[in-house]
Amino acid sequence: MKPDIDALYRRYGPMVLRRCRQLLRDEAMALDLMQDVFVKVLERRDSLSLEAPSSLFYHMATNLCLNRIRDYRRLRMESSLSQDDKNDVLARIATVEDASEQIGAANVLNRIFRRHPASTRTIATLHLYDGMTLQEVASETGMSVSGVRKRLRLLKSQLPELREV
Amino acid sequence: MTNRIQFSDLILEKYVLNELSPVVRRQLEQALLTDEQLQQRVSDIKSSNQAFASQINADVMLAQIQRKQEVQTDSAKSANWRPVLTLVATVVIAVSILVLPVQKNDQLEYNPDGIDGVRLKGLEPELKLYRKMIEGAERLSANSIVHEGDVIQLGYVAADARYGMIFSIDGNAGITLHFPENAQSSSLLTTSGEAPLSHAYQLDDAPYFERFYFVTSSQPVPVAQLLQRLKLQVAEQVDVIKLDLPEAYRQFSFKLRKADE
Repeated sequence: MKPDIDALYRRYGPMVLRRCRQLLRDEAMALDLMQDVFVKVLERRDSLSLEAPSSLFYHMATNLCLNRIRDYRRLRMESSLSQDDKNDVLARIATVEDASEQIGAANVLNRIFRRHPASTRTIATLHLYDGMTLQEVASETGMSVSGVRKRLRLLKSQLPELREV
Repeated sequence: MTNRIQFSDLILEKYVLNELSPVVRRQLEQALLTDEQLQQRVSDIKSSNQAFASQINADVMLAQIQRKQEVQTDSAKSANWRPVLTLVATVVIAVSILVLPVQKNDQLEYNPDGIDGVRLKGLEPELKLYRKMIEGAERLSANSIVHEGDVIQLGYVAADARYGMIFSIDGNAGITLHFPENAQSSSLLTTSGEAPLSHAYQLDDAPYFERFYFVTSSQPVPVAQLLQRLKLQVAEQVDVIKLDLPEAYRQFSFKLRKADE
């Protein structure tokens, strides 16, 4: 059965908007991103599994916000997106592919993120930015705690600035 | 002393949505009995939900979502044709250069005073300006002479651009935003054909010129930030063909000369 976009918007829209506001700290951009989340749902309505809708919407919003932060960094328009240390951590997570590009295409990190382009960023955001425990992150992402720990260890080994977080 | 369980925002969101597992729900409800901070966070979510329902028009938002999705679908379809169109354009240019070398110079010459840059018509975003006449409207070309009080109707052709902003800078270094309607509105462009702006613009008494800019991007344009950046730029130099913007933005500018210049 195809999801009813109207009902989904009314039920999950507020949560999605709060998440976008939290990560982007820009009202206009948050509203724009909230729309993009539902555009993605519309695009994938034939194949989307809505068994755990709140998690799905929350992670879609997180990923799209990270993409937006990364894109704005590339455009050098990030000033309002990195006003404090916490958002700076988020920007580092979001632009982690940029960091790898600066080091070189053959970099190990680059290879890692090509294999796991979004999920490691999501894991890092949930744990390092949102403060979720490893157990909670594992439960949210369907991974084992040791799997989550391994990903984070690898990320921190490649991005030393995240070690202190 | 007992350790308090920390509950993430997502857990609280799920609680309000009634999507928590029974075990976590029991833990949270237990904590809610005594933890005032937690009670406040849940209360904030509920208030925010009410504000969302009352302040954001769901029908308008759903229509915009639908339109965005259609625009993306159209863009994806046209992207399939883009290599073919590019190939055709390349062949046309190559033939023109071989057969009509003199005309090539005339047509592709860079015009520093009027329209910015060399463009392949039909493939690049474009601005169109019309002056309202007593009857009908007159299409303006670059460097047209205009007067204080003239009413200008703006339109644009987005071509393959998805987002954009239109503004003008006058001889007094005044910046006027024409699209989107304000810095908080969406910069999503209409991609089908020529799109007129919903309102016309009356020229004031600023001297020398009014230069219109159409800045486009594949990403939503941070309008407020760009306007801020422009204010700094025009403080140094008022009439520039190409603004100092990141390369990811495409620019089109169109200058009208004021009668007293």
